[in-house]
Amino acid sequence: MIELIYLTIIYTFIFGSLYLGIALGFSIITGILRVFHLAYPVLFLIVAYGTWLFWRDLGLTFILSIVLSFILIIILTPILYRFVISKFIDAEDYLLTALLLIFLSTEETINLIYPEWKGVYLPTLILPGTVNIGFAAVSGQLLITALISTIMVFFYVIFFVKTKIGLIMRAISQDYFASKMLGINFDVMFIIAMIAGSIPPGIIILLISPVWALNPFIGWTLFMFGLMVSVLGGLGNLKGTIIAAYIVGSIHAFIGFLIDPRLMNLASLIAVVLILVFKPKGLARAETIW
Amino acid sequence: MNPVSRKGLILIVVAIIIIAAGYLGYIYTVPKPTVAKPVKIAILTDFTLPVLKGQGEASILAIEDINKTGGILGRRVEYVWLNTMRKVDVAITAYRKALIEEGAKYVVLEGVSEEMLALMEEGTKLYSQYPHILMYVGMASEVSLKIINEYDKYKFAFRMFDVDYDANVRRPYDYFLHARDVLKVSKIAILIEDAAWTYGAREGFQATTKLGDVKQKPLRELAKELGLEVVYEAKIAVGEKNFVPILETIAARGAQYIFAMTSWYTDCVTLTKQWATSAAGDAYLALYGGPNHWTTFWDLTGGAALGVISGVYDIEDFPPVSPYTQSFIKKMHEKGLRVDMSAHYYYSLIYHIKAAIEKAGDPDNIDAVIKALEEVEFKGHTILLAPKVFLGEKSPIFHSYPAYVGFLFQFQGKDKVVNISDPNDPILLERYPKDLLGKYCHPELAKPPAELRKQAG
Repeated sequence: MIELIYLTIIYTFIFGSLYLGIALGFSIITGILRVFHLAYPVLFLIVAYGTWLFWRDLGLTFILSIVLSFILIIILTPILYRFVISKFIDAEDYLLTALLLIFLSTEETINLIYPEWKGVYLPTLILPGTVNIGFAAVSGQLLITALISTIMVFFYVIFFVKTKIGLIMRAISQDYFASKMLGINFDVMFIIAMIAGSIPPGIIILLISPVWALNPFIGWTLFMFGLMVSVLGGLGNLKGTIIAAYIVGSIHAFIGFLIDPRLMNLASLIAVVLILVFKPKGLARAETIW
Repeated sequence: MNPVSRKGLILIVVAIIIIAAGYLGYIYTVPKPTVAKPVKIAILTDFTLPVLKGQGEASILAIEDINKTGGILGRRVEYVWLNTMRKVDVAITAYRKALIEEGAKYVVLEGVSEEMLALMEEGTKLYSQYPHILMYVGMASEVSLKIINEYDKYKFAFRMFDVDYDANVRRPYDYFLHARDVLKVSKIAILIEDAAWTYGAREGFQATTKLGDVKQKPLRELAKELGLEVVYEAKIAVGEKNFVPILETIAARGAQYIFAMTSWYTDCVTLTKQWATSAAGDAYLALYGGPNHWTTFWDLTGGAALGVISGVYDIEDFPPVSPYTQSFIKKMHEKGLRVDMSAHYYYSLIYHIKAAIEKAGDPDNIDAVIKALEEVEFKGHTILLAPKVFLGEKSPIFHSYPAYVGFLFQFQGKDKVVNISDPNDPILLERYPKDLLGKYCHPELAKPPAELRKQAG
């Protein structure tokens, strides 16, 4: 029993950090652009299947393929912004529909080219087997994922707090119109924010590939975790996202190890609903990214 | 020119009548050469799912093969493929279209039990006007119970598969036997997909039918009967992505063997990947249904499948249960398709239809074909060689095949899937010739996952 309690504590950190990494980019984009980015799941797919395309279909080295898949995201992001987001930014229903359609068409295209039976995988296992922490052995890859995810969040917070661009982004997230009057180039800032928000899902999909099935439908599944955490935290608020991620992580660990793993997801959903009943805008104020 | 006399006119009219009568008599009495009407089979499925498409392609391959060898009773076999979108209402529409518009007399459903049960109800309304046969490859007990208890109403429905209360006892029992006798384990964990088809395996099942009583023991009791200690048991949610708490708890409880009753709806790839990197990674992982039936499971898991035990139905050197077994797998591979257990059944059922029609003598005489399906002992199945492969057993498996108990393989490397079944397994000996088992089964090659990982470096 003590071992299970110990595992619960460790996996609260691991699950929480993982969910935080998944939600990070979504929170940044939502916080700065105030756009509910329904095409966010595409980012997971582009990095995963882009890497596979460059690596296995075009015969490039694996590392170069990863780099190119991120370059692909950096190229596609301004296009998405220019032709979809900026075009429909004042018509939210059209924007949501357009983003959803982009996601669905991308997913379906990937499913057509790389159906599950093709066996797409990414050899990104950094730490095989288990790592002993105290008297518990935990999955090495999940631990690495959690650590990298935490470090990634740390650097993003530093970016928002310590850099000029970060400061401008915080200003935009706090007051869109006031910052506009100060002459901020919104298009440039929005594109930078979108690119910044597009990197974390790419890193996460690479890290979890050895412990999670890679298929054309993985994007939406991951997005659901990210969405749950972001909504609970308060859409677009990074502090809230961090707190929410570890709350969901602790619920999953506690229920999974000590009660019944079958109830993990249900328990976290009920908890989120209950919290939102009392705090409808989430755990943190939603008017600022940090 | 003289006018025709009255007598002459009468003669001409009589002559015309005689000629016309003779002609009509000729065309109605002399048989014309006719083209035999084809045997039409409707395949109802969801094309968008790769696994269902593969199973549908297996049926089509059988149809193509049969046509190449002269069809059925000299008639060509034609098929029509209709989309169900795996939705009950769409499936019903497709079913009606197959019977009413397409004129199919044989309907094959690939889908979930809910669809089959709905089609059976719809079929009862249509049968008198459109006699037909409805076939299904799936497990749910409700299908059998309905057919047995209300035969006259549902006699057109057949399950070309095994029923859950039979299969989910015999197959897991053989896994447990193998674990005990070949792998020499004593502590096991049981994971069961939380779905309707596993209810009996989880909770046990009892029913009374007109053909006898059904009593299914839950898996934990089956394992205990074999002297295995069940140290952990859990339900797996369909689509679950986080198996870590389950696997870590299994490791903490000291299980040496994990039996996971999975299907295509369990994320077997994620389960396997997380198992391989968890503290439970040294315990054997035995999977039931899912993509682990394919040799490409190795690639799907990026090699994490090393050491996984499963039925694998995709290797071209599969024990040749019938003359069709290996050629079927090879032909599917040539088409770029993978073969799971159900694909074998979808291929074989077309041949079973052929055998029944040939016995009945007329594909349009559906009552005779139903009777033939209940009487004919089918010998051409690609993997099923139960004591008797037929659908008319007067027992609670009536209109279903007897439980399939097959070979267990272990993934030991890329393109290295080893048959580790025990040739002395009493259940296998009941079903397969001894020389076939001796040639293909190599239990001595089974290795613990840790050893395989060590070898792989």
